[in-house]
Amino acid sequence: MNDQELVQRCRNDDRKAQNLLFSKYEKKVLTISRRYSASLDEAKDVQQDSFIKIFQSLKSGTSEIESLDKWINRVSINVAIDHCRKQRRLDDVHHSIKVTESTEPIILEKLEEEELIAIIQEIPNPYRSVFNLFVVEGYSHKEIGEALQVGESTSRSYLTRAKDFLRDRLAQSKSIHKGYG
Amino acid sequence: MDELSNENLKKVFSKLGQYESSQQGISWHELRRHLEGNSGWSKAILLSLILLISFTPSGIEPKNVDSDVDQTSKHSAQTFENTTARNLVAKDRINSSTFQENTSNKFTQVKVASEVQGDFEMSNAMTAVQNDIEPYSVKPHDELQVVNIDMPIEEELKPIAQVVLVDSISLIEIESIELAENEGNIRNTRIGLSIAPFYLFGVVAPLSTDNLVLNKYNAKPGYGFEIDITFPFISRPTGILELGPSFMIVRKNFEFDILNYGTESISESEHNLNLKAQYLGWKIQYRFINQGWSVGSTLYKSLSNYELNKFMGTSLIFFHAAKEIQLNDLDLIVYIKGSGGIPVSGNISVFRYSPLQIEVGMRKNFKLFKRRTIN
Repeated sequence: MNDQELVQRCRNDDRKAQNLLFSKYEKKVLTISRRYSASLDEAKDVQQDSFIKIFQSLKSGTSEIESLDKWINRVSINVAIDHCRKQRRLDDVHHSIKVTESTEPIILEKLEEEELIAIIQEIPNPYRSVFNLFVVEGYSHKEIGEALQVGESTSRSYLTRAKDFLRDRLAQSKSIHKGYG
Repeated sequence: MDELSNENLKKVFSKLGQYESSQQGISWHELRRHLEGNSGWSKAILLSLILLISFTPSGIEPKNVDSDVDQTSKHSAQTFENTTARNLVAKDRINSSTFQENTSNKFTQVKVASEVQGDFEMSNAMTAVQNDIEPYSVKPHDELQVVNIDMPIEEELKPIAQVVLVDSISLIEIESIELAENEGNIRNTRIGLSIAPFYLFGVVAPLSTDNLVLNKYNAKPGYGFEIDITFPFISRPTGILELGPSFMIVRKNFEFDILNYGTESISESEHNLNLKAQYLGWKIQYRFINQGWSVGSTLYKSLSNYELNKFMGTSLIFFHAAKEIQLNDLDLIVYIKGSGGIPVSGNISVFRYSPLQIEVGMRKNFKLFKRRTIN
């Protein structure tokens, strides 16, 4: 069954087709959800929201979807952004970030995908959202500002804070290694 | 090159674009349950409780004490011969043994008034409660759709995907009825189960008539037990508005003397009553996040024609404020709460009792599952 046929059957509320679509994209959607969430439980919520939105959108929409893969990607990101925006939790991050000068240049490049996701999840919101949108999705600051309902300069500032957080996190890791050495 | 430069970060994290997590997410079974809709249960429970409170019958009338009370007490009680007197003391509502042991009547004349033997009408007040409940009725679905469409999602997502923009609006329409807007935070909140004993005291306001006067009232303690279930209704960054049913058992002692200015003589009667009643109510409260405070109100309705109703009314409204202390377990809270109640309906006689309560309780939070339907 090709994507167009799958989409058409999902629009007709065909549960088997929906199951098929879910099986095909559940991992992808979960990965996106995890990047924008602080925990797996939260990511599952976003994942569920994403699929409900996907099926509802397919059911109510009639426009042709050129690339199902990209479309699902966009929907998932939008749901994740929406989720982050609703939460509006800063978690007192202004006080928790300690900017340090030293960095560990090699660690990031050596990290596996799961480790990268884990380190993204540690970044407090809304810095995490900005980091994801800018670094992983490739959005511009203008687009991020509009998506998150913040100014372009705020988006830049959030990205800087996310990077400060990463720098601090990597420095901590480095000091721990030295301690054991 | 700086390892945290934009270019390097994009290079390092770009592999996440195509990565598919090996973690286990939601199952198809779980998703399907949401797609097919299981949102009815919570609304059904809430509506059932509202209906239960609204249409709770007057209950079984208390036993007629004629068969239990000794002849002296019986005749003494019957000397209340005017209409006002029928609303007083109510010999046929007082627990027979209590009446027999604690009541000493000093009437000098015995005059049987046949109308006194008739039962008292207290059920009229019941209908008033239905009017009190109406503000809690659930909004029609159409009305909520309008509310949700107003969310500022359109402007935010415009540059990202026009196709998704329209779809996102239609999806929000399906959110469960009672959660309304901004329900995202509610998923992170919990259903609360609270259990608390309380100490009861209060304020008495005598209801003197031409023939009856509250001569003396000795304050006596009371106590009770309350159990609540609260559901998050609206979530805001500052706090959560919660609704839910509440059940309360009250036991209260009254010790008082009344003077009866009858047509032929003045008589005095002393009463020492141990009364109890059960109430079912509907609670609304606002909990301030991270501040450990909550304030709210509860509308209670008596579950039967208890003797206590003649002093506390058949329905009461309580206002409360509580200080909460979170224990190590994030979902376990100990709280101390002060409440004040006002009788709002019922055939109150002799005096109106407005209870004040101090309670120390425990609240356990349980995860709230999302409830969705797709039409």
